[in-house]
Amino acid sequence: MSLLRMLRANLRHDALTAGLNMLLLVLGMATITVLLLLGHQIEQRLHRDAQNIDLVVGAPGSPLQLILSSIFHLDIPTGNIPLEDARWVDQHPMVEASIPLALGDSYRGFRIVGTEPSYIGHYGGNLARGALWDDAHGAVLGAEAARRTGMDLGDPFHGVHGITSAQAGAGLVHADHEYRVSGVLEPTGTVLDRLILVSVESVWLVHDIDDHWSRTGAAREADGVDDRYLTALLVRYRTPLAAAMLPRAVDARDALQAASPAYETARLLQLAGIGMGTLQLFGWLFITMAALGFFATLYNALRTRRHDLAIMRTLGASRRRITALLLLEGVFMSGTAAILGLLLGHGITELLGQFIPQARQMHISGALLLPQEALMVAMALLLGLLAALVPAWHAYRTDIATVLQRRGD
Amino acid sequence: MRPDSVATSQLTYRYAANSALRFPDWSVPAGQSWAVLGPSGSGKTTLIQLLAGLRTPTTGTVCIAGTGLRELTERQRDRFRGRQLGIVFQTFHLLPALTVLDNLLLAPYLAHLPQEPRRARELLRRLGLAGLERRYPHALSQGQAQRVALARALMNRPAVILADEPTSALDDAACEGMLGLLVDEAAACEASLVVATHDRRVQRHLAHTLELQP
Repeated sequence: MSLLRMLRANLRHDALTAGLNMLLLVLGMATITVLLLLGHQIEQRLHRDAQNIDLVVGAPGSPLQLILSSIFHLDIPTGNIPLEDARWVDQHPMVEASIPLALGDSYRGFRIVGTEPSYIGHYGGNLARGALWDDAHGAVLGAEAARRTGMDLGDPFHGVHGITSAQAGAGLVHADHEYRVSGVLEPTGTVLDRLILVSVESVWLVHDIDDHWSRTGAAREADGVDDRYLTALLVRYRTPLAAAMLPRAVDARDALQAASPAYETARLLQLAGIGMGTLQLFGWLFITMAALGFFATLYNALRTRRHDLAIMRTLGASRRRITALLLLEGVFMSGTAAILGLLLGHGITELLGQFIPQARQMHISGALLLPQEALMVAMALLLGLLAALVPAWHAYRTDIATVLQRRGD
Repeated sequence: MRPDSVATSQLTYRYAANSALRFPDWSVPAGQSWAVLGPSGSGKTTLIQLLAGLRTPTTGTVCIAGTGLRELTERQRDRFRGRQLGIVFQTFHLLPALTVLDNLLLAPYLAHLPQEPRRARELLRRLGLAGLERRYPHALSQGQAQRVALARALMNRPAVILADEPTSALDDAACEGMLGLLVDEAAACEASLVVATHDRRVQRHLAHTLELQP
């Protein structure tokens, strides 16, 4: 006989009621855990992708869309900007550095990004094998893109016009321009992992040859108009002062729009946060219901167990020990349920990360612990204690002689 | 020379709004067995509860095995009760969540005594309950449950066994059997035995009798 044995035996004795109450708490804890883990990882991911990019310059439109399309590669671009304007930005005295992006094509769902090697450097990407592109046919695959397409060094592929799966599904294949995998990157845990990186020139080349709105290099030379374009520039400021001045200067040019990743990301998280908050509310609702259930169960059990408790007193247990036992029962129940809830939450998150494509892209994992979880367990224990408080107090006040006294004597 | 197992003097107990129950001065030398007889309302159960320290006397004193219960704090009295007294009730109350063996081991556990599963098994064997260790109380017959409760009362080698109406629900044969066990097991533990009852069948088995007047 031991305390733990006794707690377990009492739990098992009324397993159905205890189980149902614990289920509510398990579900509540799991809901909140999943939301915490997802929220934390998405936020972390967004911050990591947007880190050290002070400003994004692209075509006018929704600034959020510009950020989504050119930093997170989630939305379609707002449009293209003339090379001439892009050069103006790049050479602006307040700009420390800029990375060009030319978007528009994809291969099997992975975006082909025309850019410069500095883009890879920005996210700390290292070549796992092979080399960077050295001509208009070389392509470097992000780790995820390489794994999922199954391509490796030397493999040829053709880009498809369009970057969402719906567009690309119906899009035309750029059959005339063949890319070859020249290198594969190590995983970085950033957006880089699911991109296919090529030179900006190759994107121009692809579209010069077969795009209806563009013309061949020969035609361009003939009429002296440069219609080469970029989709966006990722800009780093030279001076903090630029934050106040550069966006306005950029917006003053008709073809350009500036968007701040920090601001737009915060806005995005705030929007998503409302949804998360609502879901979390449901989690807390479960937990509150579980606490009420615990209370009702423990309180009812007290009536049927008054004799049991009196017998324990006659066997030498003190008032305090009986009270402590009842309190511990509440804590034991809620603690067990809380741990099960956390495990379930981590399990579900891991499954989401494994089997939901969007979550897999984000590298969502169930194998990390957040400090908030300790707080949640503490909350659950406290709830269990509170639920047991009134029954325990009643048990403390119960006069065992009266309980044991038969009527009429 | 062992002290008297039970000694009372000037003992009275008053329930709210009732006239006080007065109990005769009484002493039980170690090892004796007594029947406390009396009609309903004569205070048999109250006396048992006073002896067990479950009620505090209005006046007078109770000494169990040389210890005055008044001198103990409530906690000390709880522990003393667990160690020195084996109590058997009319309804043989076992904890439903625990197995037979755990019900027995509960006695030393709650009294902070070493748990001796071998002694528990030995008691169960002596009371004809061998093989029921892992059963739960709901799976026992009434007679079996009674004997388990008796075994539990014996677990801590008490100085005194207090039994409150242990036979009133039993037919003659079962009554004989139960009393035989009580007397034999009390003797085996060298414990005194006090049986409170209105059941005159009990008298034949116990050497001494205390009559309570209503």
